[in-house]
Amino acid sequence: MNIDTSQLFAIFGVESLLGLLGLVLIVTDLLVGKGRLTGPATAVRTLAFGGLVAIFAWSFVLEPGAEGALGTLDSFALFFKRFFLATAVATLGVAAPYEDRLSAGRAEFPTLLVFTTLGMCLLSSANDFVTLFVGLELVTVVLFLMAAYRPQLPRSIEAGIKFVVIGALSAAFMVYGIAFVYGTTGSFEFSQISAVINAQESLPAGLKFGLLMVLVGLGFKLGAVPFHIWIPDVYQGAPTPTTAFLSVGSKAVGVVLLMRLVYTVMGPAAAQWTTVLAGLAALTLLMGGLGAIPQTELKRFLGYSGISHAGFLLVALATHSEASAGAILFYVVTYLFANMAAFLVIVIVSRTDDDNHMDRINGLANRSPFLALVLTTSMLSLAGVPPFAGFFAKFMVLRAAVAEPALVWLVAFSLLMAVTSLYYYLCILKRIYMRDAVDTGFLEISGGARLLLLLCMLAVFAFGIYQQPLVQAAEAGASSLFR
Amino acid sequence: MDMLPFDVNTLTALCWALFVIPFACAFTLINFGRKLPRGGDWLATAGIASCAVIAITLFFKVIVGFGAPEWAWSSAAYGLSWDWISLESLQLPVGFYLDNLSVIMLTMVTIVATCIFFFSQGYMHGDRDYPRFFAYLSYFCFAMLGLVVVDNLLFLFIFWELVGVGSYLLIGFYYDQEEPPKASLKAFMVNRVGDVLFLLGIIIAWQLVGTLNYTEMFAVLESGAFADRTGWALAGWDTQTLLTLSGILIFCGAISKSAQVPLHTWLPDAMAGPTPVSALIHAATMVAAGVFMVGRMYPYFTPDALLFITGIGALTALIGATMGLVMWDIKKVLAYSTMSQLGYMMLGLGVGGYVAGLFHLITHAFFKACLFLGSGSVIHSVHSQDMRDMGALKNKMPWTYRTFLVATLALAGVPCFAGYYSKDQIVANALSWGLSHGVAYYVPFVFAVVGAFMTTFYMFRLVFLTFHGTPGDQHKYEHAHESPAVMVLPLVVLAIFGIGAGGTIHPLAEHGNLWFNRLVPEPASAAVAGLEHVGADTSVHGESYETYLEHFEHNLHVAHYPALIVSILAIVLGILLARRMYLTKATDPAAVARKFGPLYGIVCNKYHFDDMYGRKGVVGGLMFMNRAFAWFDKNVVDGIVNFMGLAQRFIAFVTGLFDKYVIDGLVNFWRFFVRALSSILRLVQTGNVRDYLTWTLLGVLILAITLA
Amino acid sequence: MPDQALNDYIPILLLAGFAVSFASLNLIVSWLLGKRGGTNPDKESAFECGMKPLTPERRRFSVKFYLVAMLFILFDIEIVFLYPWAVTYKSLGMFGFIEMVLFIAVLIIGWWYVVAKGALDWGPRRPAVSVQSAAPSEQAS
Repeated sequence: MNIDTSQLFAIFGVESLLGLLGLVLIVTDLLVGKGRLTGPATAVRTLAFGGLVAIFAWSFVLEPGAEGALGTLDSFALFFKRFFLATAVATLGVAAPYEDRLSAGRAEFPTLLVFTTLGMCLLSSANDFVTLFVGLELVTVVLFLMAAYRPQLPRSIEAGIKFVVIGALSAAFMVYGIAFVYGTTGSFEFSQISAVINAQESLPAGLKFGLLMVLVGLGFKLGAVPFHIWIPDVYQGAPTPTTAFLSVGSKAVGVVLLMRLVYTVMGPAAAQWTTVLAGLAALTLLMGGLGAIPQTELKRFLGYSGISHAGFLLVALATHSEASAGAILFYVVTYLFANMAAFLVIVIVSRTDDDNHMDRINGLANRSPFLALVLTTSMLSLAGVPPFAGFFAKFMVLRAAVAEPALVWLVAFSLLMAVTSLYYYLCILKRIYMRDAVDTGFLEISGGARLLLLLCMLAVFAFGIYQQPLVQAAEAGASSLFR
Repeated sequence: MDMLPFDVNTLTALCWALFVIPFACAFTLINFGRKLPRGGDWLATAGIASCAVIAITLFFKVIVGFGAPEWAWSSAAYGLSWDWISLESLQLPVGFYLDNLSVIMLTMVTIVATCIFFFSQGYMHGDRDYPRFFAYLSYFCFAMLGLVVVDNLLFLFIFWELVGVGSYLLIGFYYDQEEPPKASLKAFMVNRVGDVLFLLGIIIAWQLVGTLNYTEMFAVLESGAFADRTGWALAGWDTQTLLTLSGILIFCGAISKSAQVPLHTWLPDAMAGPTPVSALIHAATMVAAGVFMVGRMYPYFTPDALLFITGIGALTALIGATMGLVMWDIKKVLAYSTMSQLGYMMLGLGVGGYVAGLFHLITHAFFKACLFLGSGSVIHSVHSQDMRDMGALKNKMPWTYRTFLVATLALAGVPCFAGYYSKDQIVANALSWGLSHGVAYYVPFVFAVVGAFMTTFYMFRLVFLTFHGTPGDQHKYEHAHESPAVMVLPLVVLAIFGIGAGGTIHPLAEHGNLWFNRLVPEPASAAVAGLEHVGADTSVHGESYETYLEHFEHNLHVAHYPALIVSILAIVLGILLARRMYLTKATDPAAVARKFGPLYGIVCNKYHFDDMYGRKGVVGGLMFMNRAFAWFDKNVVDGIVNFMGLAQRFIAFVTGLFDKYVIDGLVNFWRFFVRALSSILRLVQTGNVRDYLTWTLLGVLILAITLA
Repeated sequence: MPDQALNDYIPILLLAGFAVSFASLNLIVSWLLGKRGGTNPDKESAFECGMKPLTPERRRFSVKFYLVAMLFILFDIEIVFLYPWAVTYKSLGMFGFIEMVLFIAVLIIGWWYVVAKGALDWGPRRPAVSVQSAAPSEQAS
């Protein structure tokens, strides 16, 4: 058996470096400032930050094109590797002001983050169900830990346990589905499965069932109704940086795999699934939209908001065109910036304890105009108000969808739900600007946090006005799916 | 381009300056306003005044052509665009477009805004958030001017949303009071309904003609080169239907922005904002943006879409006027009057009086701003908005009275005043429309004349109650005083425009010779040309569209004097009746109200209808979603409770659309349905993992069954 | 081709059949041959040489137990990987060797971490971090 090492490294370069970084972080934790809390944590955090940024920068040197037995490094994979690395960097930023609430395991948080990012990067390259499953488990198992990170808080434990049970269920669906797919096609490789699928007029029942089970497994990651059910509880209970990472990273994992599956593996056969995907999209939009309205807890609220965004992503997935694939990539990036900013603001305003009731942001405009501005930008972008990036993202999704006459009802429905969502985002703004503050304490914003918030806000604004570079990157990324 | 009096670079720079200056002022004021002397009002005023200078320069240079005589009275357009987004799948150029219409619009907006900025210095004096007010006003001017100068529909939409935000911020300016935040949210939400439809219209238009640039759109349309890049045709939609549909959807944007029936309900509530805001945004500029947009897109509308516009306009003109008759709040009367006048403009545009509608937009802006500022001056002095507290104020506030009277005469359309020339044209066009089409089509004309009568009546009722007669509240009367010069001077300026904006004081001036008619020629309908290209039927009553236009033109000449006589009669009747009822008190208004009991009740009903239906909770089937909001609201004890009233009002007005008296059983059924739905949703999120698993498995099962 | 793929599962089906029939056969046989009759206290009691249960039999184990069990599995897997490598050592050559060294290096770092954090300490719990800097807000809420 011959394995070309250099080719493996060409495909999994980012992953290898991330693995190395993770090991270095563990060793650092053990070597620096033995037995103390802050010393190793600072060292690990700095190192993790530097390493992730360096790998992120290095990923721009990489050229897409390498392909092997277990994975591929096409432009799509590369786009998402960069996305996941950026998400991890942003999560570190969200975690920094949160850290002093942890009594133990401060140094481990960045380490775990690096390992789960490794899993995510692996997934974006997967062109084989084996790689897919290994990557998915790596991501999920680490996220279990990160969700239950504060065993002293019952909510955190609850979140962890629910996450484990539901995660196990989703993994079970996955494995079951993969087994069926293997049984009917005789292969784990996407290209061969795709060949089998497209050689037949209609899918055999076993294969159909297998693909459906895989879809269900991924639906959990994406947060599509009815597999969204874990989201509110887990988002609320998990530590805020974990929630931030979950909301962007885990959702993107679902997106990346669904896109590979629907666009590449199923290819033209996916047209038979349009109705199912469109139905899921409508349900998800409805649930996200109606569910968010009565929420009084910020993270839970953002959970429902995330569900409704998953709905929009599903609308694009149901469309099945190159334009819609590009729209999805654009969408997740705008979502990353808006969401990370929102979570960082939450961490800052609930600095003293873990109560994230919406009262916390009452009168924020008077307490800290900067935070208020950031949160406003982020909410308006999530709501899809022009000229922010979120508007353009929704616009791209709907523009792609409207080209398919069968989906016009879905477009109309999405617009309706977009108006609904505007209402609950406006309620947040109302709290920020038109309520008297409940807390009056001083809001301390560190330089790093300020920088990250500024960056997110500028990105949301800049990509709303001048989208060209990002749209180009997204379309280039999406194009490799259709080759 | 040597024909242009300015070279392209200068024009581009001026266009940038027009909206960058107000934005820079807004930015500075919001950040450093409190640190500047006088709260920075001078900065904002100087900013908008410099915009006015630019606009007036453009007006004279480009239109009257002092520097280049050969340019006088000609119509030319300047367009410049550059790529904003340029991708394989997506081309979005962006740029400026200036023609006579937009230059006139810019001039109007900046002059009115400058007057209002000065006025605000007096009106808002001593307010806690003085700098913030000017920051918002400047921000609004930025968005409004941007809206006028852009050259494509998408950017128009973006600025459209931005003016909406400005309106939202300014209506809710007194955020610590109860009413304004609610009103601002309501205005924003109601506008969103129209905006969503507008966006849908834009998307369809884009799919149909493949560009959003005005000039290119019309050129493509005219050549009939429809781009069916979507397979819509396969889905069974023919081009004509799509064109009409997109036209109507685009107009829906104007329905909410320009407070047309049935999305008008936010406008009266928007009066909760400071009075200068009402004058600037909710009388002169933003609400007129809808009319401007319809004017811009005029060649795009098919005859069917124009018919729709006519209907909505006529209905709004009449309904607005009836509601103006019975209000006691001085600002509410003016608000309904604005709504009614906007209806006139739409009516004018719809029947084919492109020039008349847009001309009315310009003249109306001046005198309506004057009226609002005048009412602001009165409110400032009396500290009440109720006309029953006023009376005999003409002795105390002579200048306010004089300017107010001039503006009233202009609004009523008394000959020689500005409003006369534009409104008379609308009436003439409506009559000509009736003559060209047939009996049933006289309805807009009748509505317009009845509306004119009512307008005169309620305006003079307002004048008599406020300035004549006896003081309603002796204490308030004694403390009333004329406003300071900084408030009176803008009034005088606007009143002068109220006389002068017609460009002549000759009562029998031929319409074609008016300055506006000469500057803004009616564009040919690109939609009709395009439809003829693709072989669609565009004939009107069996004759070709060209013949119809000739008939219309001919009838317009025939209609001029009859229309003039009828409207003057209506005006005289209105003044006399108002005098009899409110000045000489020969007839008791209450008795009249009793006599017209049911009718009076209906009118009252109209303006109360959102409250009433809110409380009763009547709901139409289509608004099932909104009901769901309301239900959730009821169950959230928290701050969302505030929204409840709003949501219900929101439901209420749409309800009013369908039927005012929906059968109770239906209502109860929906309520039950939504409750059931919500309880199911609740059941799902129990917090028990085993329940979650069950539901998930159920979902998988359903999915599997769907697929199998 | 899918049909053929399914053919491969026939042995599994057979195995399942055997398992089910073996179990049911045993039950049936014992039911046929066994002596049936009433019960008495002696018959119901614990087995002759056993003890009478004094405490409830469900007891909570220390979490350490699970920790150690999990660690055991982790290092057990190491052996699972080492065996096949040892068998095919020659054919894998240098690549296999380097790969295995990396694998073991990763494991060693893991083991080091486990030891340093005190996961294998059997004695009373020793605080892993000094108490002075633990956040005071760390309370269940």
